[in-house]
Amino acid sequence: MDQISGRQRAVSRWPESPAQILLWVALAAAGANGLPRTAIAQDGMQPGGETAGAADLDSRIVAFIRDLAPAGAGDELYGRFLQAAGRRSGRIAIAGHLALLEEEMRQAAAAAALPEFLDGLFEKQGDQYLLRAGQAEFGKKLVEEIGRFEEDIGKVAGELKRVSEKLQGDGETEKLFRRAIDSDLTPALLYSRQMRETMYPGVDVIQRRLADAFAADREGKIFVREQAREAVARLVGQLQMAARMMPVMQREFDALHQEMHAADPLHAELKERMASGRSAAWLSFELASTGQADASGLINRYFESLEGLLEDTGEGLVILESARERVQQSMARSGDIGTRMKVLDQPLREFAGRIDEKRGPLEAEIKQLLQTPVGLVAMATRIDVGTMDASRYVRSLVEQVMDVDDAGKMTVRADRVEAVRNYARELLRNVRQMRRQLDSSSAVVDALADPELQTAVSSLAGRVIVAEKIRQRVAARQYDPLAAFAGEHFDRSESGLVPRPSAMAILSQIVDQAAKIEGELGNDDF
Amino acid sequence: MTISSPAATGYRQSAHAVPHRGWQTAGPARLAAENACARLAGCVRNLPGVLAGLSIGMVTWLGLVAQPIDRSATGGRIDQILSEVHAGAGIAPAALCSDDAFVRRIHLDLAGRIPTVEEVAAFRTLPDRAALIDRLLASPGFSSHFAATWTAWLIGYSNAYQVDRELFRRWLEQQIEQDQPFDSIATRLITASGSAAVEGPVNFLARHRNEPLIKVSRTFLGVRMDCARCHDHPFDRWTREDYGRMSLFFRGLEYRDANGIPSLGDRAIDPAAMNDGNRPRFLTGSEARTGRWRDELALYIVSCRPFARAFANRIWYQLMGRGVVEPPDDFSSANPPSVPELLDHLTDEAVAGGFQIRPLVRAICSSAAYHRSSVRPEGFGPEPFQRLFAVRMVKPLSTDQLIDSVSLATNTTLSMTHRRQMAYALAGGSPDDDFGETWQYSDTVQQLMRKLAIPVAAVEGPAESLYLRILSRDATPRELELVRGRTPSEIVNALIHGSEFCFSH
Repeated sequence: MDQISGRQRAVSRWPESPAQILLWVALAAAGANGLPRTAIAQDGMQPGGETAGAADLDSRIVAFIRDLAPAGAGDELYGRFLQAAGRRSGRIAIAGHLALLEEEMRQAAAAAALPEFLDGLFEKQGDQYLLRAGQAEFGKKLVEEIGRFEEDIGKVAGELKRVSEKLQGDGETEKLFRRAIDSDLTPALLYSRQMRETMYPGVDVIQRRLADAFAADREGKIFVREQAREAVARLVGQLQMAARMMPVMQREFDALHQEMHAADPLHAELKERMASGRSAAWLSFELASTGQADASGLINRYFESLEGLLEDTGEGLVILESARERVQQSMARSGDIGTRMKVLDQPLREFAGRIDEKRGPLEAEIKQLLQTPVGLVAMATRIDVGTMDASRYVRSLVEQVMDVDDAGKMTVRADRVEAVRNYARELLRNVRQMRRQLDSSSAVVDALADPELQTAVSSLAGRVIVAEKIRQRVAARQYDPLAAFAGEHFDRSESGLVPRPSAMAILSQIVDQAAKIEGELGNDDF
Repeated sequence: MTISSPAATGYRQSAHAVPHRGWQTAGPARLAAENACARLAGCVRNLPGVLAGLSIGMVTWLGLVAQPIDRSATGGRIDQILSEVHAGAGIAPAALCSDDAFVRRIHLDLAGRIPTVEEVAAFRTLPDRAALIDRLLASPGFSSHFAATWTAWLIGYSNAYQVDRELFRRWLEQQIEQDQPFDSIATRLITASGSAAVEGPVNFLARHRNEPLIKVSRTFLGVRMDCARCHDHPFDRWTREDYGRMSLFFRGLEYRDANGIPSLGDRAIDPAAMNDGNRPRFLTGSEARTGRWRDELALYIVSCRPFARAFANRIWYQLMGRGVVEPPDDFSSANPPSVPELLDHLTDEAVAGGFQIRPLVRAICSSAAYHRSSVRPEGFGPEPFQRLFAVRMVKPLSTDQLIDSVSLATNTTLSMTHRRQMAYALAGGSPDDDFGETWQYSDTVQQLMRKLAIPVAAVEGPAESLYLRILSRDATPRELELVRGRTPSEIVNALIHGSEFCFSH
């Protein structure tokens, strides 16, 4: 699945704009308080991640027009509306009205998002909010989530503080960079986007990392993208082969495990890995991915080469001294894969569960295979999650732009001065934006009655998390301005939909706009 | 029409009379006739055009060369216009091409590949050119080829910005298969919204997210607004204000990232709330009047005459290898059409035909202009023959044509991945450009196939059959002499890398 592997990228790649890193934060409250949406929005967990296509709306408008009752005598305006609606210009005018109506609905929903969120979770008693019955579990999980968030950003803050102290020089670049990383919001900003999703990936992360190959429809059902069907079919073939190889591999590992002597911790670790089942899954997939069809031959060759790293002793098989380094490297890699498998297990099951097997045999096959150990290992080799911590993240950022000496002193590299300055400036801009967004919601949480919840939610981590949850709800909401328009201004009669008097002003406006468009069409050359 | 067996006569076919339809070729001395025609044309090059036109008429009368029997008034009018232009310029157009040249050319243009040996043989048996045009227009290969060609034109070869190129190609193929007119296709491309993984046409604007106006105006109007981005156009009338006002049509367009996949939507802005002079304005002067700006832009575009001109010129360019306005995306006062009457006529036909693709293609392919030989009359340079369509342009195969033709010639089935990799490699350093950009020989095709580990079935057979298979013609005695003792693999290798294979002529 070459497209998927192409998506793999270091999670802490330096030149990536902080704007990207922080985008969801910047937009979170924008969705909640009705601020204008930025041109490139991050829709995150929106189920389908899309809105209805233009053609879809057009066909619905056409169906609506067909459903209208004929104009009676004296319905001069309505008659002109029907005439206009029969032309493209008229349908555009109707669509234009609906577009503005949808914008109003969106803004109203965004403005009401916070009260609605609170109403769903809390009961207002006097000036305070109490968790509703049945929401206790949610409250508990929220407090835990916030606690974990705080703990993690505390580690990021510690790492950034260390960088600030070790950074040499006092020029404009260094001062600017220190200002950026010393900000109280910077750890939350960096953590909330990149680190968090790699440490605790949800199904949205899987979906994003596999976006080359999979997409979701409006109902959130996942399917294989047209451009990736061939690659996914190839992956299915590899997984099927790996699934056939895995029991054989495991039998071979079991036999070796019996013979291995746990001479030291390395041997003990190797024995444990052999017995775990993950090694058999990983190696089966790796061998199946070679493109060779001879499964038995592949297995035989693998174990022959493995035995070449071991020697028989009176106590059993031991690792050759000359092979210890290779074995350690391989075990480090397999350790990373194992970590990723643990972290990915649940979200990948959820992802696979959402694959729409009714779309076709390819979807059915990949859905089933992704829920097997070889499916899990295949994704673990491609999706780098779970192996990042605060220290590693900050170190990888620093290493891309600074030289670090043996004493840990850091100096901005001459060729990265401009990059560091730009990064710092963008970081500061986003910090300011984040502060504004979080301030706008801070007044509400003060009213929570539960002291533990109140403390958690009013913390920086709590405010970020609540803003995120609200953003997800707003983003997931679907609007139907046509239904709203028809419902508000038309009545059903035997002959079809009949406009109410309240519709006349709008119909007049649509007729007028359609006539103007028709007039514009007179200019047909340049 | 009497058709003799080639084996019996030693000739491809013979025709005694011009029947009611189709191209009829006179077989007995077809090549000799072409040469004679060319010589005759050469002789009359200094004579008035009337005499130049006579050369073709005489040869036709003699029953020596193919003559287009055009069923459509359009094809006839095209030839009438060009005939007058050629006469005015005092040139005699090139002779009409041979059947073998035609069968290869028409397959490349309408099916996107060279013909099979069987198709060449069938055409030699029944050389009805009009029928072949109709058959290819109705074949799935036509939709597939036009979709591939237009996909390259509209979004290039790469999957930049996470666009779903294959979904886009399939959508286009479906539109062409269903005979959707081009104005409808253009409207869908300009107004599409939703996810790039679900809605095929969304991928057009998703691909050109940085400068949608530049691509839209080049594609659908043949107008280059690039310069006017920064300053008034130096060679045309477009100003920065024109650019800015037209760009406003895309102001509400939002590119969203839905879990790694681009999605298009619109933020509605009420133009009534905007001051006069700040509303989106099309190049005709038409302004936005509703909250659906892209819809209005699409309507203004497909309703204006420049759209029809650009469409007609694009189809002509694709089939003839040169636009009446050349390059086809550069209509400007500084770059007038080479034959204005022809462009007017094609534009009228496009409008009258409701922007249907197949009828316009059929009309062009049925014209004598399309059937001209690529060999100019002896002693003449390319000008003004090419500009006035008095000779067939020699066209390098597009990347897709080359891949499909190599695939057919070498009996190779390419996976989509291999196809993409090969296109990328052949498209050289410009995989995002349209099909006007041709491939480069950084590798030989064989090297490339080896590099991509593409399994190639061995092509066997005598040299005669390999020439027919790869070049769609018989080998000459001289060629047979040259390849004597060579293995089939060597011959295939040599033929595939020869200019004859890599060009449509």
